[in-house]
Amino acid sequence: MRRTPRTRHALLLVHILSSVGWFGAVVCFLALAVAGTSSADAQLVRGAYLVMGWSDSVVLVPLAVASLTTGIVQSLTSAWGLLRHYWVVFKLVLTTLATLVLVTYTQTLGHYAGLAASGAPIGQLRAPTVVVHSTAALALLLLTTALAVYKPRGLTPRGHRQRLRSRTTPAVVDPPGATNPGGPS
Amino acid sequence: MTKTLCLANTGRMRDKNRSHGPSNAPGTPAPPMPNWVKASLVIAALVAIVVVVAVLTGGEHGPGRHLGGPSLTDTHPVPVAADSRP
Repeated sequence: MRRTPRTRHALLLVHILSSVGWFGAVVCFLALAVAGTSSADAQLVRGAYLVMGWSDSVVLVPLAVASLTTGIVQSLTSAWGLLRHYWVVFKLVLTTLATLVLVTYTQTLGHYAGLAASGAPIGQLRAPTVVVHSTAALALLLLTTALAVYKPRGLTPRGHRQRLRSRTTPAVVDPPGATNPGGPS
Repeated sequence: MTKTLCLANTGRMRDKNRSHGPSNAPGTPAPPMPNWVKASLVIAALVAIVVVVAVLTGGEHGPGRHLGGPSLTDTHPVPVAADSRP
């Protein structure tokens, strides 16, 4: 699948924006989670859980889905491929896992947001789970970003076979970095 | 200066291609799995084991916690005195 440079840059722009936006949203989410679990101010605690419940479905999930989708499209339409290099495979697995956990976690956040809205004592709202999950998400996103930046070496067996086949049909696989400086980031 | 950088980049790209690419001879066996992949797989397996153990022992974490919906009872009460609500 071939792309024009304009399409390639547009896709890359959307992918970077959604990925970086997701990372920034998780940082804000972690700050809210810490405030929600440690603040003595009841209004702040309730507000934090309300915002967390709202931002999960309005900000985090759309950004995660956008990042995953554009990442897959980037890989499939670039010289890197989706399953040719170990770092791309790792990034795909980690991003998919993070997105699935995030989507599933929406119910838990909705539960806590409901408690906060109902005026329940803040003792029922202090859940370390939000801090644990947002910290894990942050670590995971750092890892995927590092993979995209450093691109550690290693061809998968599938990538190896495709590389060998490309000797007879050079248009199938281009050298990494030669046609797509940014790669699937 | 620019020319030097360009040359350096070209050299780096050439090295990178060589390291990514196996020998071009047909029938060449697949290159061995890189060490960073092996180490990552070991770490991932350990994390998976920890999560599975936590779920099986009814610990604090696991996908089941996310599916509880309104009946979720995994809150962590603290003394109500901490509530400054009027």
